[in-house]
Amino acid sequence: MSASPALNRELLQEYRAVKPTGVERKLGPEEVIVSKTDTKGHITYANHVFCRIAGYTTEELMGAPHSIVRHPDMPRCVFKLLWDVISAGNEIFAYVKNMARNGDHYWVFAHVTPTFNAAGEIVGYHSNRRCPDRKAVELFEGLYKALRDIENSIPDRRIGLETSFNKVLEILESKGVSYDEFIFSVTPN
Amino acid sequence: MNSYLALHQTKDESVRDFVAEATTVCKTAAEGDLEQRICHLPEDPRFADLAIAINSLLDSTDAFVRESSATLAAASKGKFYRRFIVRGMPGSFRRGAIQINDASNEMAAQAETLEEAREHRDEAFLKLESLVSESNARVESTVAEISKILGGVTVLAINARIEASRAGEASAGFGVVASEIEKMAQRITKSTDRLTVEVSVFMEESKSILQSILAS
Repeated sequence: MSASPALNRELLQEYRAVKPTGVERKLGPEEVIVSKTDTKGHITYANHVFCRIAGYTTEELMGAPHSIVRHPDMPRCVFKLLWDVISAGNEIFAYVKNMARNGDHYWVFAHVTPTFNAAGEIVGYHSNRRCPDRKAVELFEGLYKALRDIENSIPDRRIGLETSFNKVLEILESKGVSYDEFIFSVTPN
Repeated sequence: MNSYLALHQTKDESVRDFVAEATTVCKTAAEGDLEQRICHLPEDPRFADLAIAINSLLDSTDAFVRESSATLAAASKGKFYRRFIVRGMPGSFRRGAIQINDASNEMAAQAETLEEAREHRDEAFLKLESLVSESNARVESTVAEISKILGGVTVLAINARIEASRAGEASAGFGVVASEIEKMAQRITKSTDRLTVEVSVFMEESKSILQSILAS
């Protein structure tokens, strides 16, 4: 069940006003943030770890867009890739910097999978987010900054997104690996 | 049983709602639907803890099912780099995850051995193919040489026959020998022609067999 639209509006206003603090929160090594969303990305379930680290109550998160924890340092092309992959019915792994309610941030190693009904149609998405390896976080901090700079340097948002997305493809091509292979190659077991 | 009924019939509405929701969630999970969670945490902290515990159990189970099927699906497509992410998987789930990763590694090693064997086989067959071609070429050149010699022998026999007829009665026997040599040369030519055909048929068939093996 979702929270009232009024509460959602209030939360979004609060989110837009918050500035990143630069303070990092960390997940415990075996903690997992779990959330489920509908096909449009509105939260239908948030576990207690999610609520604690992001600073919201279950009630508040219900029905809120998942982008409520999006950090301004994240390049938009990463979310384009994520949505392209999961809406096609595939799983994706990604390193993501998220923002807590007060502007603190926390890094996660996210695994997003579609949920199918008996007819094989996508009825929502599921995400498990684990504590990421520090070396991988450092790597992606640098990569994302470069991609974000590309997006910010181009006034036309659409062209900016296209350019940074192509940059991702270019990097992968130069390494001769797929996105999945790249992610697993920098992720220790 | 009594305490369960008591919880169902309690006048405390939030507890009653929680019990109803928890019952539905557990029932659907038992039927294999791992999507449902308790979304309304009761105010009573004891029940809130129970709700979180039920949700956590479902989260672990749900994650294990999603991860294991994804890992095995990837392995069956030869994408062995896609491992089960063990981190965050507790107890038995973790052991199961490690076992799946071990199995996937074993499959990867076997796939590699198979690929190596295929490469060795291809190498051996390519060598065989070139050997067949080489020996065919040698047979052809030997046959050509024999034909040349036979040509010479035929001309010699014809000349010998003509010389014998000029020499008259005394060398009639020599003329018979010369014409027999001529006939023999013709028979040898026929045999080498047949040999050439046999060799080229053998050559074509062995090449097509080798190619069908290499294409598999």
